[in-house]
Amino acid sequence: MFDFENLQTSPASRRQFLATMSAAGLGLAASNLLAGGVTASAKGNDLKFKDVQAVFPGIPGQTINEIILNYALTLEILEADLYRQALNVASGLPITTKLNKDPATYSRTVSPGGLTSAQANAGYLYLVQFSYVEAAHREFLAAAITASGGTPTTRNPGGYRFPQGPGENVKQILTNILPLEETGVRAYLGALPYFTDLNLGVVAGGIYSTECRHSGAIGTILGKPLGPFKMDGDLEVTKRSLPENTFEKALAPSTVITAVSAFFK
Amino acid sequence: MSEQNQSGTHASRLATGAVVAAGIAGLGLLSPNDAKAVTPALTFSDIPGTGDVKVLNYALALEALETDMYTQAYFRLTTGFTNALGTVVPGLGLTRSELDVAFIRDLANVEKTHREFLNGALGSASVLKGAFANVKFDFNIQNLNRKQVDNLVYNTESTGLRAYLGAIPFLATKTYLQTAGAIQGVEARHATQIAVIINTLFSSGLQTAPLATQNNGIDQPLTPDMVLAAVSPYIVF
Repeated sequence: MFDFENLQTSPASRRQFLATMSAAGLGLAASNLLAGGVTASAKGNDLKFKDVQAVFPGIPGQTINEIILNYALTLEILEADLYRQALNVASGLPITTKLNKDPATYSRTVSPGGLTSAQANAGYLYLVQFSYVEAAHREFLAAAITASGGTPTTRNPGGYRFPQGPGENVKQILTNILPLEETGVRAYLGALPYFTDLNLGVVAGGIYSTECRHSGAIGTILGKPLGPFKMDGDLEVTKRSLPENTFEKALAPSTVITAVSAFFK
Repeated sequence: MSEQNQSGTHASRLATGAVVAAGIAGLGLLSPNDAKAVTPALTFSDIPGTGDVKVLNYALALEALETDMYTQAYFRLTTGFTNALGTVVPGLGLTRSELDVAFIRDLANVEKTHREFLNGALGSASVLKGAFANVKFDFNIQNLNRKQVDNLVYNTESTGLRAYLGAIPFLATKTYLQTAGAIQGVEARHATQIAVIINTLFSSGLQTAPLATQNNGIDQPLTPDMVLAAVSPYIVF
């Protein structure tokens, strides 16, 4: 397992990390990542750069695709940090403890909080696994943007926090994590149409897909019915009126940017 | 690359096979022993249409397969049924309140909605009105036990979510990109939710999502040809 904490401050380690991404066959052509041009497969409805800047207020980038990837990175930095905090609390560690290089070092110390023992154990396992996945997403996006000559956005200088705290037991912690994942799902789906290169859509789609999985796993552990369910601000992607659990919802980037600021210290 | 059959182009192979099979079925001569999975495996070039229509028809073909799979899975787990090929499938006698049964029943309705949405969007160009009009799906479900049925659901959803990702580059425009993404995300939820249920029922230890050590925790696409090769054994004309 990569030491994700080290990657945040070590350019050499990020280069090595990027090399593993290529070896893993993600098929990501770094040179295409931030191309400002429109690929033949992305015709239709592309906005101008200034228009996209307005859609993603405050998100840095010299090209449309760089802005969108930095938008995604903004969210992954936030998610990774809050997952780390939640995992620390669930494991009886100080909340500021950095993510350990070895996930096997973690063990649950908090109570199930109303979940069965089996649910709590499964939920805690997902908390461990997803903490590393969000860190991996963060480092993937940062490394990919850097490798393409772009500038990855940086973390909020003051850090991040759960507005009402992460929770005191597994059920509370997962309940507080779930909105993050659901927002992440909506953020990616809302940003997807703005990419000018569909190859980036595949990559972002792959991250979005795992956010959906995380939401599904946590929701199932918490005993929630089959999702997705409407949240405030949701945009429906079809004009037809269909049962809410049949299509994922999107959020406008500006809505997401406002919403996540509540987690900024 | 698929080979041309002797009777024509790739695109016509589906239509030809479907017409022949429909004719045989109409005579009442099609029996479980006669029905065979499409061979050689379908490829993307066999899917009708071009550009976005082709991609939507590809998705629709998969949704049709999934919808039928869920129906068969539900009845296999519960009361049993006779499938479209005339095979009697005994039920395993589970009640609707069982965790997997309830979930599969709900998922079946969602997949049906996906199928009907895509079918409606495609109109007269829909593969269900053409080459797939009389398609049947055979999952050998009469020989699957409960865990195997649940795993069939898991594997099908897992393939479906990667299929949508792999279809993105084949879109000619971005018109349906977000809609396809909205369906894909639901497939991803389903795959994970059934994995959680399988783990609960059978202590299987199925993964719910890629780990950080697996492609950096990112779901990987499958190309249409890869997907169609995987599902062709279930497709019967």
